[in-house]
Amino acid sequence: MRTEESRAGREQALTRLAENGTPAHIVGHCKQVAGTARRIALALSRSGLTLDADLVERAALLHDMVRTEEDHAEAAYELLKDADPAAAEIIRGHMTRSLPADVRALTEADIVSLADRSVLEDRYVGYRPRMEAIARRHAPGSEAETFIRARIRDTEGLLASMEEFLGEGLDAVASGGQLPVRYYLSRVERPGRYIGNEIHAVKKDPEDVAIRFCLAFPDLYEIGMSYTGLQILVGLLNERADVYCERTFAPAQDMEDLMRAEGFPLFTVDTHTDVKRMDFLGFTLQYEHSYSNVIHMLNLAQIPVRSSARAPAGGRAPYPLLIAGGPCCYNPEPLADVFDIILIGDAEETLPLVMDAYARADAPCDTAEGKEKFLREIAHLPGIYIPKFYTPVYEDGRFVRMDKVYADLPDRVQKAVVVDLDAAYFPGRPIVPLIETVHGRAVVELFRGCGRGCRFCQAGFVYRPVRRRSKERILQIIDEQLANTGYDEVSLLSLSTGDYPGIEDLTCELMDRLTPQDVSLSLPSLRLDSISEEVLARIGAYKKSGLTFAPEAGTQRLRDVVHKNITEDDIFRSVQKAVAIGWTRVKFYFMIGMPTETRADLDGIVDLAERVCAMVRGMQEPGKRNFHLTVSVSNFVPKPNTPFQWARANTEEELKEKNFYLKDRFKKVRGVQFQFHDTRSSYVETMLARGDRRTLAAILAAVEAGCKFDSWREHFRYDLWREAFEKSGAPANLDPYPDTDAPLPWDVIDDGTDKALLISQWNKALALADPAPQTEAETAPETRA
Amino acid sequence: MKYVIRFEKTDLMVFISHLDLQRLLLRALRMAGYRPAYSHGFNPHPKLSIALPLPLGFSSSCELMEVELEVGLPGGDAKGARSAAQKLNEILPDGLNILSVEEKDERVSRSYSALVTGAAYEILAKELPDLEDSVAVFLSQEQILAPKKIKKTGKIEQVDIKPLIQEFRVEKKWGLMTQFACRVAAGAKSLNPLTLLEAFYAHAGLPYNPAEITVRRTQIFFD
Repeated sequence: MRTEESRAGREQALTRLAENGTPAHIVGHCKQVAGTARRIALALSRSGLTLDADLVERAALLHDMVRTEEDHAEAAYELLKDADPAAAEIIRGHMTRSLPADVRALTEADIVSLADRSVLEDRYVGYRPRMEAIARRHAPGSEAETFIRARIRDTEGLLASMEEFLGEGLDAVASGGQLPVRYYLSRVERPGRYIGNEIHAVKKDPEDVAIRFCLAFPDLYEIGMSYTGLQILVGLLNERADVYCERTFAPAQDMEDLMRAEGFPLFTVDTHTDVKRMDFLGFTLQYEHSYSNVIHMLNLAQIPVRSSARAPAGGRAPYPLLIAGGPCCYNPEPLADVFDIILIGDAEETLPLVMDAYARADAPCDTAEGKEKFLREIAHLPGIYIPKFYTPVYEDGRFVRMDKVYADLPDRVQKAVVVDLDAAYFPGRPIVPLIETVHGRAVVELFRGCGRGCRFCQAGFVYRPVRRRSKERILQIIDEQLANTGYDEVSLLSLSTGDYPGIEDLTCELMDRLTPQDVSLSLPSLRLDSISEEVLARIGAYKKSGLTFAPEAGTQRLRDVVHKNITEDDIFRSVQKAVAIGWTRVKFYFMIGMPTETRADLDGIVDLAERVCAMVRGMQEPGKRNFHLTVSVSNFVPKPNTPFQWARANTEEELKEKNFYLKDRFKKVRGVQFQFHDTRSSYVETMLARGDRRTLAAILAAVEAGCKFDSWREHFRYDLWREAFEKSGAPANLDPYPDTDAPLPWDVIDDGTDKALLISQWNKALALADPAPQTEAETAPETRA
Repeated sequence: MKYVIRFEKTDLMVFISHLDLQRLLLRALRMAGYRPAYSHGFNPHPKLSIALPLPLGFSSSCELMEVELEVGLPGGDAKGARSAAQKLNEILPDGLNILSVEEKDERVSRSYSALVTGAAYEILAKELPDLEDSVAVFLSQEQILAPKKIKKTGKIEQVDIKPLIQEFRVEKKWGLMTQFACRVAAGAKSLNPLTLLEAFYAHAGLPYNPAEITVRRTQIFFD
């Protein structure tokens, strides 16, 4: 931690440079030399030498302040000898000093010279490369070249003795893990992705914190920065004085190519530090299709993928602790061998506890025993799963049980729950990206959880119970965010916005407040049936972009199976209401491939759309008809911790056939646009969602073959994924868990819902199966055996 | 009320594009509590414009933006303008620095972007051999040809850039760096200083690597 005196000394030196009018590129060089010299001095001091790192830093900052003059070292000495004699003396000799052969003889002056000779302009390049470059500038065999080469040779011994003394590579120490990313930015598209420096991005001096944390989002910056969870966690961690939380994202292809060609690893956007130098690297797992990017990013970071390959060595932790959080962690098994720590439930609750324990233990991961002890300690906290302490057992290729490494560990890891959303942290000063992202808008979460209980919906189960934020707190957050961001749009976030008690009151009040400020309101996840005419009319008054509605299934029977509590009447009434007020665009969401589905259910989708269109035609005068209905069909993917986790998934061919059947039928329906989703990516999602520890082999094989950015249509490679599953022998079963009595790989996670309840819900759903399916029966459960 | 805001763009902010910069400045104004005026019409947009877009990667000490506010700055005088500059600087990230905020001279009826005639740049390049003679020979050509992408067709054609060069010389040497000064046409007919530099390197037989060159805009000239 810096002292006040140290800070003041640095400030004073910077002021001197400014007052002297030293050109910007020279100041950049001086700052880099100063940082390098200071890091070397601090590391040597930690290892036992007595060195004044502040003096080293001051002298280095000022060493080239008058570089424009003839004998600049002497000139700077003259300028500084009264104000800072010690620094002046160092600067006087910095060009000509010969370095000692042994690390123990190093002085502050030697360190400044060494640092100066390791920095090219404003980049740390290392002593040898820098000096070689200087030697090359002279004619081969010339006196100057010979002199420089001799100097390089003379310094070999010193560099070796420094590395031995420090116990790690000099480059890593001297650069502080800082990478010359900036130098490459003019060569990539949208370089603003990689610079950090946003409004409200927190800047801390790494020297001032005990813990360096990097949050990793496994997709591009523009995607990650639009995700509210990342904003919450970065803000929450940076509120702590002992943590500096930075961010990293998956680089775009052009940056990746550069990183490979130039040999630099994954870096944080905030300080361009090698993520390997962090204490923690935390990934958020929002969707299964990001798993390949997690592995891909670890490869770019030059971090071994398996936790077992990241043991401490030589009294140091060569890699950060890897943490995962997010909804995919409710089945942590596919990536269980990758992460040291997996957070189950609301990370606002668990992350601070992990930070506290880590800070208390003081660099616990420098030794194998310390790391084990630390992980064992936190394994007892709610919401923390330490996968290496749990060993799955398979018999005849089936998962049979989970063995614990230590008897005192919990049998099941309970999810952590934020009880009071009003008291929970929510950013009032979110980071405002400098470049355009997917969503540039103020966001407030209305409530967490969903009271509906649709049987396919993982979010609906794992985010239970429903926790509501008060209207007062919501308005306060919005006011704060708007004042601190300058955004012109507010979005209300939740799983089902219309279910917020008092949603009408809230939206009306918000619109009254926002309209005069030229701010618009967006209400995603709004169910048509849950909102009144008045609200609809008011939203419609300035935005008629379209309304969405999710009947999910085409027949009442199947809607009952999935427990979607809406009737056809609801649907018709809502559309009628919306059209009467002047809405012209409505979108319906359906899912295909759900348990008990028959051809009648597919026909029901078409039938429903046709009848809705007919109803609207009846409402509108001929010639003035402008109603557009979009029917969007997605493929059902069985998710862990839902009643449908036991469902047999459709084959890719089945899904494709159903999509084409619908497409054909919709061709004949006027005024309806039909959209469907890629069946191949749904297949892979199914395999990953219900995977177990053996699934990692397939993920690694897929990444090896080149899979990444799987959620991007243009990047997804079905052929490579199929091959990866086949080659690796990882389970690829569409019906892996036909028996509700058999243990599931993710039973070790307790998401708060009783398994017996899920089973009874599943049985209720099956009981509603059509007793006499019209055409095909293959999706009906009876035919399973 | 129309205002003219002068600012610097340096450090990491050189990697922010013209459109992103406009959006950022608009947000900063709103955060500072000012209400930019919007155009009327089907798709309202804020009345904010930057006089001369700065190519990505260039720094500048002389950027100029015009903005119309619904309500004039409190105080309405020099003091109000100074405190506005200070307020904006507290909001803007490092690398964007507001130099001044002034009321726009009412006699200037056209927008500044319509008045731009040229701009001066300082170019820092890696250490080069003595170039004074090569520069003289380069400039003495009857025509100076450089490749230019024709917008309509997308084809690359050789065009004569000589009429667009107002000044080009070696200014000084900084140890390892050579500093050029150049002034080129901007506005209706414009020339990117790097196009000029690349043509010069080709003429002088030097290897051209844009990654080793930094460009700073130092002045914009108006009609």
